[in-house]
Amino acid sequence: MMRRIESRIDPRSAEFQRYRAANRERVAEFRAMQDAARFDRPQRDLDRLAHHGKLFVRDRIEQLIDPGTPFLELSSLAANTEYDGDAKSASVVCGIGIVSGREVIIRADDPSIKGGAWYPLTVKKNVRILDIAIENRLPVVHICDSAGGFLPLQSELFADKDNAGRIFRNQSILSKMGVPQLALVFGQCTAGGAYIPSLSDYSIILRGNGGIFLGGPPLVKAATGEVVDHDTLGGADVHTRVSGVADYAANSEEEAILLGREIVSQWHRPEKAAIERREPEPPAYDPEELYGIVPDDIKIQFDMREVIARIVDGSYFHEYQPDYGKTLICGYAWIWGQKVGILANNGVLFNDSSLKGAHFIELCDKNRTPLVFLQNITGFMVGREYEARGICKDGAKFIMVQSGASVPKFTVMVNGSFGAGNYGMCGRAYDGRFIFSWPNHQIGIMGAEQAANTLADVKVRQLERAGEKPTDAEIEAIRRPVLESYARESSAYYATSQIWDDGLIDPVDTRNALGMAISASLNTPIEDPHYGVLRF
Amino acid sequence: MGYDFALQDESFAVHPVHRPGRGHLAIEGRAFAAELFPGLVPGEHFLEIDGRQERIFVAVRGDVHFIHWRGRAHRVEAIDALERARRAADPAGGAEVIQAPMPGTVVEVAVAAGQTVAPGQLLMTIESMKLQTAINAPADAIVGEVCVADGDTFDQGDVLVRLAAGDEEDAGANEEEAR
Repeated sequence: MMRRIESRIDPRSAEFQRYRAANRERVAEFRAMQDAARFDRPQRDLDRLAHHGKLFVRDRIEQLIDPGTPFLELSSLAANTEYDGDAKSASVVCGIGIVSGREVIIRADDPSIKGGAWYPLTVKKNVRILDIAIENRLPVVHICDSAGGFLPLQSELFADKDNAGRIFRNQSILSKMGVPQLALVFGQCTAGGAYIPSLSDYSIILRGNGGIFLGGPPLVKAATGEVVDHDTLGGADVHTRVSGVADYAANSEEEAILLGREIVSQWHRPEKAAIERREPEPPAYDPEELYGIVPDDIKIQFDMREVIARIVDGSYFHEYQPDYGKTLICGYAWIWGQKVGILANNGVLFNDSSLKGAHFIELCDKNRTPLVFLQNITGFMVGREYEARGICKDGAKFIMVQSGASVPKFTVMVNGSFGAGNYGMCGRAYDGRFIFSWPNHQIGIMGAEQAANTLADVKVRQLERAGEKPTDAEIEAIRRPVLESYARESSAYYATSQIWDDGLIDPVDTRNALGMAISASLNTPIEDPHYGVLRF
Repeated sequence: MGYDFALQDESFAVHPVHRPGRGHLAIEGRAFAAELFPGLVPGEHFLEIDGRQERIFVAVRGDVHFIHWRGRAHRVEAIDALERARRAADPAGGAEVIQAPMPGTVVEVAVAAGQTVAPGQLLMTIESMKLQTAINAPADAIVGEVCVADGDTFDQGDVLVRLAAGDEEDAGANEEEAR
């Protein structure tokens, strides 16, 4: 028995129309940027691919996945604000797709951008996608075609813990866990890149374009004086007949992809973790109405139940503790037939809302219900009364229980994500399985206005101690640059560029993205609940 | 526990009856053997009830089913038993005191005493922690008293608005007029 959320939105109201116009504009801008990242390439780069007989990376993926199935692309706008926008999608296409009936991660180098060279954010994206593979026990298909690390920025991608070495470490851990990997070698795998096929359980190398070697012909010549051509050094026949570095040779990309699909079909399909399920049904309210719900001004609050009603099956929602801690909505729903516990912000977090959140997470953890966090949070309440009531320890309980929960967690950045609210609501640091963001999303340690005022106050006090009295114009000159850099660095585009999330999505796709993400997460068994020590 | 359905304005109690072989329903205490078979075109069904077969068309809008039978449309809606029980047991009948959810200031009051309000209608906008929040009417009601004015500051729990029980028929009449 479930009751539907009763929507109180009036689609004919002036506000709804205004918000819808603003959000449609934002989504159109996002779609245009995503299209450019996916398909805009200089003609000479496309000509070069064609000359080598290579398919475009998107076409390789299209051929690999089962016909008519969706590909959930992750971090499509990674690196959009870095490297003068050169490294589209951080030069690597990553996502979850269905290959021979199995959910797999696809990680495909994009040789149409600087020969597929790895920028620092390419490495970050590769590490993240393999973290996703580990956390969700998802097999991986690598499509290798990369010139190697982008040398001018090598200091930012080589030596640190989360740099390139982590890619190969993650591959090794996947193998240890019994999660299979397949590498399709369609171009060069040089130096570190050579370990991707070498660490995969299965690899197919293309005659002609495919090459695997620690050092390519020019490096060999410089190092030892030996003159050797590409094929003799590390081509398909050497590796599949002599060295055993690769397993199968293929004469065309098409042949390799079909053989790859056959290999994936040999993989054992793990049983999914048991959660409550029911027959899926679409929301009772039109998801297109999501555009009219989030206001065009981040300072205006809206009812998150209206968002829930347009994401969950049948708009059914059993709300838990409806009259307590009302600024955090908690309750049960289904997404594509999969039971979830939803925590959604409806205002600032108070003592009671924090306790309610912690309590609800414990319930979901006990009854094996995955958690979905819908963020629109300015932070925890401040002031003498709330400090005296222990807002710090109540917030700590929320964070402690959320961090310790064993069930898979998913976060949607619906609007604002500021301050410690980001922590409580399963921000990036809390190992949620996936984070998806809407294009209107903003994120930062505090709001731009507050940060600018705080910094201006500090500066004014410094000047006053030095015996000076700053004019309004001088104060404004302190505030303005802070506001501007904040506006840039708190935008959804900056956040997704840095891979603080797993990608921007159109709000109407939220239900589908969550549906696929939850399904993927259930490849990992759910541990028993256990927690740290709570401060009462 | 059975289910209640409203057919036009009349309520019927329906119990599924478990008997081997075929579907049975008890409607207002009387048992019927009933089966529903899908037809060939969208919405078409054949209803077999106590050996008689009737051709019906069903259209669904939200939670309401419209059943076309012998040239007439019948509106059928499931009654939410919990909601009905809740309303029957509410001594205030919709009267409510709206308290401030957090400390803050009043940006704008949108209603005046004596005014009839519908569920979800804006009563006032408040601001707190740099966020503007709409305070909306929870149900059909009449505004009894507005306790704050534009620009006032208030503490958590302070009374913002007192609502008196709204007359549902009145509210319905207003809605009709609005159309």
